[in-house]
Amino acid sequence: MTDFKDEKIVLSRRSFLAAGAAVTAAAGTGLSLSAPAQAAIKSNAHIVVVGSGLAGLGIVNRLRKQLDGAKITLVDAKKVHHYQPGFTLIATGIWPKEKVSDTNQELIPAGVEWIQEMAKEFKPDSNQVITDSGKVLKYDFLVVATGLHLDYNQIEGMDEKRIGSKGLTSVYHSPEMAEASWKSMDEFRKKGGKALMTLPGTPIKCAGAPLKMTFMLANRMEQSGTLADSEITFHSAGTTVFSVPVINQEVLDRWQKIGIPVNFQSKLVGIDIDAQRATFELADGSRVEEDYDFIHVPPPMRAPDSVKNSPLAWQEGPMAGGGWLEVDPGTLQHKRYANVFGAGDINGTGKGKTAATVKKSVPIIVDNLLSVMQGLEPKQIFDGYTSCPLLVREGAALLVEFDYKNNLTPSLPLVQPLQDSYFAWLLKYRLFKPSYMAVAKGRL
Amino acid sequence: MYEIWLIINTFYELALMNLGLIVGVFVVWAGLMVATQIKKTQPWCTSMKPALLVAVLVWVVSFMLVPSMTKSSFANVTYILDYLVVAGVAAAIAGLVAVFVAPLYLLVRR
Ligand SMILES: Cc1cc2nc3c(=O)[nH]c(=O)nc-3n(C[C@H](O)[C@H](O)[C@H](O)COP(=O)(O)OP(=O)(O)OC[C@H]3O[C@@H](n4cnc5c(N)ncnc54)[C@H](O)[C@@H]3O)c2cc1C
Repeated sequence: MTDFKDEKIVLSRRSFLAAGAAVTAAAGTGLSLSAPAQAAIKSNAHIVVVGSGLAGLGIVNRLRKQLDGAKITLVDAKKVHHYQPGFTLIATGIWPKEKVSDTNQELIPAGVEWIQEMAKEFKPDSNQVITDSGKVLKYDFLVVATGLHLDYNQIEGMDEKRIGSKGLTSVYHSPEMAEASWKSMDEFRKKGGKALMTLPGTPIKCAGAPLKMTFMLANRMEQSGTLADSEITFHSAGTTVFSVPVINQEVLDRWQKIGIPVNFQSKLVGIDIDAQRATFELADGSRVEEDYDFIHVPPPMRAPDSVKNSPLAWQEGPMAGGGWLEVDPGTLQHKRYANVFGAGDINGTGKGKTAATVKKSVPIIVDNLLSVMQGLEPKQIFDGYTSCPLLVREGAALLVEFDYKNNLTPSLPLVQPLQDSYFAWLLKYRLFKPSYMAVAKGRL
Repeated sequence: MYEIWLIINTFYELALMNLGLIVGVFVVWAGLMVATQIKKTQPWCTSMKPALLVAVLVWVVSFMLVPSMTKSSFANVTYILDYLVVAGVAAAIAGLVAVFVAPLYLLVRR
């Protein structure tokens, strides 16, 4: 571990404890929706946060409230904030695309410097981030929250611009392409035919999304009366469709009942969009081609190049290939650079590339960062909580919550994770976006 | 405790997202309340019983309709938590209606 100490950083332990108590009190009573300003910790450190997605926003909003005098810089060229969990609702005809876009400007608190550029290079040995334009940002502490890269290029012949044509769909790309995907699904479900649903072999964000698309396609076809005469096949690059065994089995049982067979170790490696033909690589390395009328393509995912090609990435082990950030799964502190933390999808941890993970982990990261700023060891341990309201049809979902160890961890009493539920549907349809916004604003 | 904070924040953000509607409804309600003060109406207690009756009726109807108002159906209400949520949303609708019925009743029965 790099031994990081900076004499310039001034922190008072008393004010730190006072802040914690005030925030807890406010949260406990619910009397105020923001932590009191006088409880902030004094510091003149420079904290750079890279990425203004849910994780980056949650971090800067919390730091802004909990620090007094520190310089906080947020780096991201993206100006529009997308509520990504809504993409599934757009791509299945439930929400219009307008519901998922907000402006970052409104979510970044006053007093945070926003550099509207991308980080091109991370130099953790000299505590520097270099931006696109060559600007050098020297930091005392760094939070990497860049999210991940959708690597459609790993699929030969894939052209993201053609999503929405010739039966090609992908829920992950953007609100526009989610809408285009719904148009394709809507056309296909009216006439029926052969559908291929796929799952890549890399870690992916919201691992439930490809399953939701499959359930919803079957449901839409059932509504149109074309399901019985059609064929839906699921191709998983791995040996499961979901990493938690009990949920994996539940999904497979449900698909068996509605006639969706699964081909395991069948990885989508190529696509001929015009001919509507997909190429799959099997476990023995052989390739098979399949024609289709409709295909769903969740892309392989990896860290963005700036992280992947930096010393911050895992250097060995299963996470090294994707260039994921090498953090301790409990503290979310970088394993080799003690003044660096990771937040959100970029983290090379065993599980949890979801907004739900961000919600539970961001307060822990901020707490641990404040400890490190004081010269203390990070104390808070993240258990890997993640969650997925798995849509099973229009109007019902399963509320699946679990941790690193695959324990089911319902956060409300009475929740039955494997039971089709209206409540889980209502959460996804109406209540998740408001709670997501509260996370972005640093209150949850 | 965290659950309470979660719920408060969720409803706070939900309210922010529907601020126009909430302000509109509040203005209409405030107008009704002012009208009951200007026009000399019967005592407030006389409107409680009809407001409660209407609320019960609205609750029963809403209980049946809430799922379909949210792109679902009653067939998807499957276990105790679902029933509690539907009952809660129906109660909120019934409460809101009652709050309007009370001043309206006083104005009509003046
Ligand atoms: C289709 C879909 C469905 C989902 N469903 C759910 C769900 O039901 N429940 C759930 O909990 N989660 C769900 N998620 C996952 C959830 O949206 C993500 O896990 C969450 O948004 C991750 O937040 P993040 O901040 O880590 O990344 P992001 O929100 O992706 O933000 C990353 C930011 O970093 C910026 N960035 C990247 N590289 C750089 C760089 N070099 N320099 C500066 N900035 C950079 C990007 O511009 C971006 O703004 C879903 C996601 C998708 C796509």
